[in-house]
Order: sequence, then C-alpha cells, then structure tokens
Amino acid sequence: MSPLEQVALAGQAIWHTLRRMGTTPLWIPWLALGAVQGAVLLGLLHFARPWLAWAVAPLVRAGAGEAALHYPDFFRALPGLYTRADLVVVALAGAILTGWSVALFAAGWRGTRPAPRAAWAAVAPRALALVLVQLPFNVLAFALSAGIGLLLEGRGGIVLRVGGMAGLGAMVVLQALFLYLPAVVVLEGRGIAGAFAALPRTWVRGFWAGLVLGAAALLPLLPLDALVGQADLLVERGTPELTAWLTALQLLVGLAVSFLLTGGATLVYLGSVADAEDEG
Amino acid sequence: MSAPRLRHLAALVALALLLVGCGDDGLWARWSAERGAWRARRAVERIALNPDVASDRDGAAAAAACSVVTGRFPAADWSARLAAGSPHAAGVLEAAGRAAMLRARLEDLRGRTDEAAAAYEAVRIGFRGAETVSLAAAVERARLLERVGRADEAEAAWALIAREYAAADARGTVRDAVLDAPLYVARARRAGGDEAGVDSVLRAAERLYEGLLAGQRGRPAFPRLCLRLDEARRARGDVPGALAALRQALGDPASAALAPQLVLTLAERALAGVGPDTAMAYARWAAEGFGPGPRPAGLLLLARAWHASGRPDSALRVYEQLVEEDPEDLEAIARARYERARLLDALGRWDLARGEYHALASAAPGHPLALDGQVRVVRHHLERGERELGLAEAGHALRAMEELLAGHEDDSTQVRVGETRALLLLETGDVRRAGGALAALLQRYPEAPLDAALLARAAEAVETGAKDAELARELYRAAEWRAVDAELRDRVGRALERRADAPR
Repeated sequence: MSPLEQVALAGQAIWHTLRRMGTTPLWIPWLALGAVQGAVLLGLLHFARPWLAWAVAPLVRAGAGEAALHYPDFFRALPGLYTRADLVVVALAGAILTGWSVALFAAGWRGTRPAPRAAWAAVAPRALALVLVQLPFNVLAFALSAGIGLLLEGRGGIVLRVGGMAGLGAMVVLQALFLYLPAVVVLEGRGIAGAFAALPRTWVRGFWAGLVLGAAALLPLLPLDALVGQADLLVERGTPELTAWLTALQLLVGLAVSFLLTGGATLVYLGSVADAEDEG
Repeated sequence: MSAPRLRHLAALVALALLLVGCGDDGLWARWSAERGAWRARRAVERIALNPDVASDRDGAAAAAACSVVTGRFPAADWSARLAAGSPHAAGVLEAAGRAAMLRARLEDLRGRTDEAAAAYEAVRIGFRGAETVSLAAAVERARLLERVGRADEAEAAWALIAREYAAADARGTVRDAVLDAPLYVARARRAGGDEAGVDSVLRAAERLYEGLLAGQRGRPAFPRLCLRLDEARRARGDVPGALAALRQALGDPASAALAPQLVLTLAERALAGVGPDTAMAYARWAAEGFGPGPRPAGLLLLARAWHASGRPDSALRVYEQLVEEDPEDLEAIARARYERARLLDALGRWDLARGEYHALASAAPGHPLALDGQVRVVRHHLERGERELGLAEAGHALRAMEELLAGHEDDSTQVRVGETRALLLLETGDVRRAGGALAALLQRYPEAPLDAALLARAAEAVETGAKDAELARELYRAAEWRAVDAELRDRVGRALERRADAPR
C-alpha cells in the first residue's frame, strides 16, 4: 500500500473509531486503566494522610525533593510526579489492557459483537509478551522526553519552540514504529521474538498510517499539556488544586486518545499490515 | 456470601482499619496547617489590595480562615510536640504562626493598631517554641509601631529583639532582623537626643558583629555583617573604622556580586570623612572597573571628589563627560546636569548654569531635579530684582508644566508637577492661582505627600494677600495634617485657631 493510500486508510480508521466511541464493551479496558491511573493520582494527592504517608511520601520526596512534601509546592510537582508514576502504569497495566482493547476492536471491525470476557481469556496468557514487546517503546519514549527536557533546559524563544516541536515529531515517529506490536502479538499470536521480527513488515505496510494516527492522537493532548506545564503559575495565581483537576482531565483525555489510537491502529492493521495467513 | 469469602472480607477490613490508624500524623498535620495558612494568606492579601473597599464579610472570612489554623493547631500543644522531638512539629508551628501573624495583619489593615500590636505580641510570646515565627512577629510589631509614629514603643520593641533573640540560628545562619535591631535603637535614641545611650548601643552592636564575622567568612552573610559594622562605626563617628569594615567585605569571596556597590560606598564614605583623594581613587575604580552598570554613579562621585578637592573645572569636565557618554541611566544624566548647573551657578557662571537647567528641563521634563532647576532659574532673577526676566522664565516654565500635566495621566507626575507649578505661581506673586492650584491638587489627591511648608506658605499668602479665608483654612488644614516639623505644626495650628476665632 502506498503512503498516500495509508494516509487515506488512517483517516478512515479514525472516522470509524470515532463512530464506535459509544460502544460500551470497547471501553472496558480503558475504564480499567482509568481506574488504575485514577487510584495512582488519588494516592499522590493524599500522600500526606497517615495511612499513605509511610509509602507514598518517600516516593514524592525522591521524585520531586523535600519541598514537594509541603503545601502548595506539592501541586507544582504534581504533573511531573504523576507523569513518572503513569509511565510505570502504562508500561505494565497499559500494555496488557492495550492488548485486550486490540482483541475487542478486532472483533468489532470483523463485524462480530465484542465479548470482553472471551477477549480477556485470549489476551491474559499473552500478558508478559505484551508488556515486553512494548517495553522498548516505553523506554525510548521516556529517554526521548527526558533527553529533550535536558537539552532545552534553560533555553527560550525560538530554540525552545523548535526543540519542542522536534521532540513531538520524534515521539510521533517512535510511536508509528512500534504502533502495531500489540496487534501482532494478540492477533497473530506471535511471541516476543516473532513480534520484533514482524516489525519491518509493519513499517512497510503501515508506517505512514501510524504517523497520521499518532499525530491525530497528539492534537487533543497539546493544549492540556501546555496548561499543566504552567503549574507554577496556576499555584501562584489561582487555586493550587486546579493542577490536580487539570491532571485528572489530562488522564481522561489520554484514555479517549488511547481508545482512538488503538481502535485506529487495529483497523489499519487488519486492512493493511496483517498477513492473511499469519492472523490467528 | 460464603464463609471463606466473608473471612477474607473481614481480614481486608481489619487491615484497612489498621492502616488508617497507623502512621505518623505529623505530616498530615503540617500539610493541613500549611494549606490553611496559605488560604488565610490569600484571603488577607485580597483585603490588602484595597482595604477601603473590603467588606466586613471579607474581613470576617479572612479572620475565620486564620482562626481555623490557629484553633486546630494550638501553639502550646505543638510546642510541646516539638520539644518531644516530633519531626513535623516545627513545620506545623511555623504554618500556625503564619496564620496567627495574618490575623494581626488583618487588624492592622483595618486600622486597629493597638489590636494588631497586641496580636503580634501574642504570637511572639505564644510561639517562642518556633523562634523564627516569634522573631518575625516581634519584627512586625516593631515596624508597625514605627510606622504609626509610636517611636518610644518601637524603640523598646527593637531593643527587645536585640536582647532576647540570638543573632544566628542553630545552623549558624545569621538573622538580619536581630542584627539590624541595635542600629534601629541607636537611630531612635539619637533622634531623642540620648547620645550617651547611642554610643553604648553601637559599641555593643560592633562587638556582636565582630564576634559573628569569623564564623561567616565566605558565606553570603559576611558582606551584610561588614555593612552593618560600617554603619555602626560610622554612626559613632569612627570613619576609618567604617572604611576598614567595607574593605574587609570587599576582600571576601562572598562579596563578589556586591563589589561595585561596596566600592561606591567606600568612595562616598571617604568623601564624607577621610578626604577627596581617597574618594577619587574609589570613585575611579567604580567608574572604570565594573563595566557600564556602576559607571554613572562612579563618575558622579568622582566629580564630587574633584569639587571637594578644590578643582571645580575638573568636576565640570566629569559631569560633561557623563552627559556626553549618554548612558541609559536617565537618573544619572539628570543628576549630572543638575549638579553641573549648581556648580556653575556657585562659580558665578550664571549663563552657563541657566543653559544647563534648561537642557535638563528638556531632557527630563518631569524629573524632580528638572522641576527644581526651573524654580531656581526663576528665583535667581527675582532675587536680583530682574522681575521681567523672572516672569518670562516663569511663564515659559509654567507653559511647559501645563503641557506636561495635560499629557501625563500618572498620579505621581500630576502631583509632582502640580506642586512645582503652584510653587512657581507663588514665587511670581500669583497668590490666588497658587492657592487654587494646591486646592485642586488636594481635591484630586487628598492624601498626596505635598510639602507642608509650601502649603503653609500658600495659606499665609492667600490669607493676607488674596483675603480668601475659606481657601486659607483648607490649605492650613492640609499643612497641619502633613507637618512633621513641630515648629511648623504649631505655627499652622495657631493660624487655624486664629481663623476659628475670626468672624465668618
């Protein structure tokens, strides 16, 4: 499939996934992930409670320094703390639940009714493979964001803007490179080595569609990222707790974006990337 | 539900209850106290923006926000926990102390000085366990008393700070407020004429600073200590000792950022006490050794030093050099032109002096020195009987000021230029317009810091010259309210009594 055809397919995939936003069973994996992420956010927000402090306060101190244990400084550090905690959640629970979502979307795109229990039964044995195949992407994404952060530290003006845009572009490319791995594991039934061996095929047949999907998924997150990035200002001029609400909103939008990205990627996979004979 | 499931559930509930009950509540207490204090600060700051428009409800809400913290975290309880070694008790006390101080500030904002001072004193005593809070309350109380003019009580408050609080905390960090306290006391005693008392306070302060210096070498507090040592010695008249303190500061690596300011201060001190040659050396160093920032100030001091050494032409050349270099520092240009004009006038070169005053008025029309220069030009002619020339200069200056008033909306320019305009009208004998200009200013800016002596002079002129009793009374009242000088206040008070006795 030519790049142009891939782009057109990605557009259709987004459209069809948007039309499925009201299908409840498709949301179950993401609601489960949202519950875990919500629990993590609540745990951070209540770190000072006596029954949590023994466990969470040391993590807050290690992640953002002694000042973050004080009000309202904690709220300046909250977006960063949550992002780091979420990396672990996404790399573990997120990786498995993405596989579950792929199985449900695949059933939907094939015209059968998505059955969450059956899909989970099929995906659960592949949980370790799902975590491990997505680990390189998660590690590289963390390294990229940390590296960009270090490079741009203390810079301003055009350098900061161009550097930020370049970082976002690199993140979209990275996502496109690894986008179809959960589908390869779940739908082709491949193991870890087999999934990585299938990567070149996914790049040839779905890289451009992956770029479009990644870019589309990024758009709704940008304004929220920019707002949460102003945590200092929010704390100084408004209610510090607003940072927590914005982080929660970011969490919800992130779930919707994951829904869209997984649904779209599964459809592109089925339409362009998959080998008919490999699909299990 | 089956029995094993019930047993599991019961075990989970028991575990949850155990977790809820266990753990140190200190962190949660500190968090809650800090949150309460932060909210109280926001509430009080909203009132502080404009206390006049704050409603009673706003005040009550802010007071309640403070009381929530002080009530929930009593100083006595948390002082005891601090003494018992609770790790977060210091933080709780600090936050509760901040809330208690905000309560006192709220009283101050409402204009209830006695209640505010008493509240600060209560915090000072109640929070002795948290010395930072206690000291902060003592300082706020002293400042409050000073601000409202209760000089004796303020002096006692500063003396108490100097006496009761350690100048450095347990980690060796010096406390600026404690170091400043004896200097405040000395200034207050000097103002009260107690010279013997001043000397003993200053000598004690010197011993305190000298004792701390050795432990602060290389630390940020070192130059600050030296500056205070300089102030204490200078206040005792020990100029060489003051200069030695500043040189000591200059030699410390912690003073690198302060070096330009220290050299400028050395030049000033030398000019005031040691001699112009030493001052010149420091002024040149400031002008040439630290880049463009301190150069204008260095050149101004160099010019003053030349003047003091009896070389006015060299001083004039330095002023000219400063103006020609055209630094971005408008203040320095204005000062250079003004000082050059004054010097030229003193040397009898009036035409050049007048030209400089005019150039200053063109370069910085609203600057206080430019306005003063214009008044000096008019006075120069009037004092020599050159009335026509004086009136012409005044007319020119008044037109320029009226244009300035029409074009600048900012309050400080309006007040400054408006006041000078009234003074010029008074100088030229236009008494009614002068009084009217001042009355208009007072109407628009009732609390403007107008010169009490000018108001009194205008009132007297209006009373005797323009025979306008109402306007005179209004100006006298404004003068009485602003007069700091006791003699002027008495004079204005007598005039007001006289007006009250006079038939209407």
